[in-house]
Amino acid sequence: MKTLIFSFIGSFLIGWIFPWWSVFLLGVLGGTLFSKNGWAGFFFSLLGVFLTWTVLAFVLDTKNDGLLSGRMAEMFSLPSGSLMILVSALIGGLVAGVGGLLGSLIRNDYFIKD
Amino acid sequence: MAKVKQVLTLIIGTFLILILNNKIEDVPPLGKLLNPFSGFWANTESKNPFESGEVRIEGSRDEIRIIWDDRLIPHIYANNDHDLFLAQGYVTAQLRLWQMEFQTHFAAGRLCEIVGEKALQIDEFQRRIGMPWSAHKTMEEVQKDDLTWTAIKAYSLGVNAYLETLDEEDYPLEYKILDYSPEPWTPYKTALFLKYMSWDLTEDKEDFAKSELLGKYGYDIFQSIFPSDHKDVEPIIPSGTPFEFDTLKIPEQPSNFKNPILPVTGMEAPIKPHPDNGSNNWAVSGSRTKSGSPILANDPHLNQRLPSIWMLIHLNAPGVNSFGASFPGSPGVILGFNEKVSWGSTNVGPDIMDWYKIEFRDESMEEYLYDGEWLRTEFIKEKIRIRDGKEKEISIPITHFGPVAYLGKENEAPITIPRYKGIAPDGFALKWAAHEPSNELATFLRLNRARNYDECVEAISTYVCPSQNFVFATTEGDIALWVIGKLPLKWKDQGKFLLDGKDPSHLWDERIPFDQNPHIKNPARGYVSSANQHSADSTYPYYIQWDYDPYMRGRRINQILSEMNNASPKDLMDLQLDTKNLLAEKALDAMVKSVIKDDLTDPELEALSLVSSWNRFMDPEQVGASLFVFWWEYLERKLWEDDLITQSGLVKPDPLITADMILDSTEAPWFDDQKTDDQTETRAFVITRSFKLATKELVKRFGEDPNDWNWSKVNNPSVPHLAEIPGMGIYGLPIGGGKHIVNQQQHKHGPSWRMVVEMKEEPEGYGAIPGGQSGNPGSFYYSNLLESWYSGDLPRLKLLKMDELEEEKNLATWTISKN
Repeated sequence: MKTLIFSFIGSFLIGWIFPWWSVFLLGVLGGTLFSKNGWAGFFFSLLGVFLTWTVLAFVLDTKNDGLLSGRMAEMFSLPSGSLMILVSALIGGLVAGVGGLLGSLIRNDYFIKD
Repeated sequence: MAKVKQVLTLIIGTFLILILNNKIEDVPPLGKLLNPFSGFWANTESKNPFESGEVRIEGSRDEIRIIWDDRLIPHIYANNDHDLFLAQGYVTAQLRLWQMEFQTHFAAGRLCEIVGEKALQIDEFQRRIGMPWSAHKTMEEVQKDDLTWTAIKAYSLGVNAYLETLDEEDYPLEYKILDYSPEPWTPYKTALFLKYMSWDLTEDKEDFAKSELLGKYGYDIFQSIFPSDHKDVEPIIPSGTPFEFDTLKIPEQPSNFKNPILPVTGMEAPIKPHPDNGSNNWAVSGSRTKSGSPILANDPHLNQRLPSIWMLIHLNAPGVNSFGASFPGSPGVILGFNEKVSWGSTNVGPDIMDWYKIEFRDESMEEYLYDGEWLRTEFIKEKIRIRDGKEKEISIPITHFGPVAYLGKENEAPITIPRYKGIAPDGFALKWAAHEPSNELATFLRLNRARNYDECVEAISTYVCPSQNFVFATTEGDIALWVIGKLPLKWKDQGKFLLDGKDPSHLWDERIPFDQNPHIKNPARGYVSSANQHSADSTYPYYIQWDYDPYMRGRRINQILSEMNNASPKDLMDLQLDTKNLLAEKALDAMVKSVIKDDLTDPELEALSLVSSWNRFMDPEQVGASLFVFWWEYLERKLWEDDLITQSGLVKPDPLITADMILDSTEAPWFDDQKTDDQTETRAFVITRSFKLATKELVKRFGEDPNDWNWSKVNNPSVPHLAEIPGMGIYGLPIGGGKHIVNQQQHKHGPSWRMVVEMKEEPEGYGAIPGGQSGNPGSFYYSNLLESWYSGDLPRLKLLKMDELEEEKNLATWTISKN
């Protein structure tokens, strides 16, 4: 749960300043700090970033009446603009998740030796 | 084991990031593009994209006001020319930055930097025809004129002032999809843009193909299907207009001009201007209008793209108050009106692009033969940078005609440097009026501030290329039409075929004096008009070109105008949307009559009755229109494919030549298919066969029910994205029109700007473009003018004073204070 909150709030803060892939480093940090279990590290880091990106994309999409997401969906041959929110958030989440997995592996290896 | 897992996960993570952070083949960098902070989500706009308030534009010298009206048209109020064009550059970049840069990269032969090696042929071609080379010459010219130089410099500063405000997340969407960044704008890029328009509007007369056919058929037969004088022409300058001036000595045709100079295999440009680039314009004098003031109309036909080639703008500063369509990339209003005059243009299409065969002395290409002497070649070196680090250097020989664009021997690709095996190579040098030092922008900037007919004429007198038919209407009540631009002094048919670079009699240089260019002012008939047809009839002493547009659009416009009384702006808007098909009116009855009915199946007979009962209007719901277009297309193909196929493909004669052969009492030998030895095909056979093929294709593409063949579905009028990015275009517009129709709407090509201006004491303008003001696909203004463009009810363009504007429903008001 801590990983999730860290990932959710953290990704919201760093997104405005650092490149998109900084969510990977965020995942590593969250995993190292909070995740005992590799899968939990993966999943909660993913979910946190997924939620941040979804919320932000949803707000922008609503303000835009789905105009651009519809065009982008057509470009990617996807059936609807709303799917663009899902796809975008999954990409960020996946990268963060791999980071989270790495973080918890590091935690288990270096910091939690019995 | 734990270490292995960590390393493995790190590798997976790094790999994932690398894949998602880079463009791979045509797949955009997904992580960069899709993240909601700086990806495409950052390009989403709300309905009101701008806020009122103070805005800083680096370089402003005095206070500037910019008002964005409810269509996102900027109205700029400046106190000096510098500030005016600075602000124009700024707002244009704000709406159209990507497009401006992309078009000039295209002109400069720099597409490879964006899309990689696949654009190499195009880039090389642009360099070899001398686009960057001639843009540099233009740069020297524009610096000689204070107004132009002030405008271009300030415009450039304005673009860069906007660029300075951008972070990566603010870049236009296309940069993110294609994964690159904008570079600073320069005055040179404006010169490049002007060359781009020259290229787009110089009609390709297919000299290579025509020479090949001359070689195949000889001069007389060739001339019978590609004549230089057409019957039934209705010229732009009405017949009977006297041409009273001392003509220059007109050069005589040299004796060798009928000898074909043959092109070598594969001389084919990788890109060509659209063959139907053309336009309509007309002006009706006060004697024919309800208000008693002249009304002007103009609709240039170009490729229809998003972002639109035009952007609407209102420019206001001491000495200038102009409104109309501007080119993103160039200062000023290009086609529009001011408080006193309005102007619109169409293409003339004089033959100003000719090819000279060059004989080099040896493979070094350092010398070439001319008039019995060996002349020195100059070389320009061009470096083409390719995305991801590669480069290609080319060296282009320059002769006194121009650059040698094509080099090659038989069976070699056109624009690769051939490996000469001890044989002196040939080449074709391009002589093109756009290569001459000129400053067309000066003309437009002066029209923006012209106050009467005389000042308009002064403005157009310096114009060189591409030649235009300019129509004027003024608040003083004048209407006029001028064929402007350099019309070279040529012997008849000079440049209809490839020319001999050794022979001085083949060289053209001098121009017809400007005041002898065809023109007319306030004609008795009460209107002037042009639709790319013949400039003047055979009493005009000079030769201009042979390949004008057929008379259909021009004739239809004149038909309607000659009957127009008490005209209102709405009447002229309706005429812009006219869809009468004069070709069908001429030929369709004879075609239907010729069909061998016994050869048709029942569904084909039904289709025949549909086309014969069709009303001859190219309206969206008409099935007959689709049948006629397909039938005509197959008819031309079946008729000419066996005779007129060249290395550049099928070269069709003017449709009126084909129509005359259908109507002629005797049967032309052309109907016989040269590919069949054993039989002689007749006119009836070809007409019947092509009808069957046309219906077959309609069935195949649109189904068996003729109700599904309505014209708008078949024609599919569309506005795709400039780089054809899927999803960013608009398809399937519910509109009519077609080739050689006043409303010349074809699939992705047609009226790119519709304008009507009534020259009352305070002129009333109307206009719209098939697109929108913003170039951002994430904007509500990306295609906001499209509907009013096709509805036939063009919205008002008001030359409002600043205080009047306050009362309007504006989106935002910006105040820019002096820096």
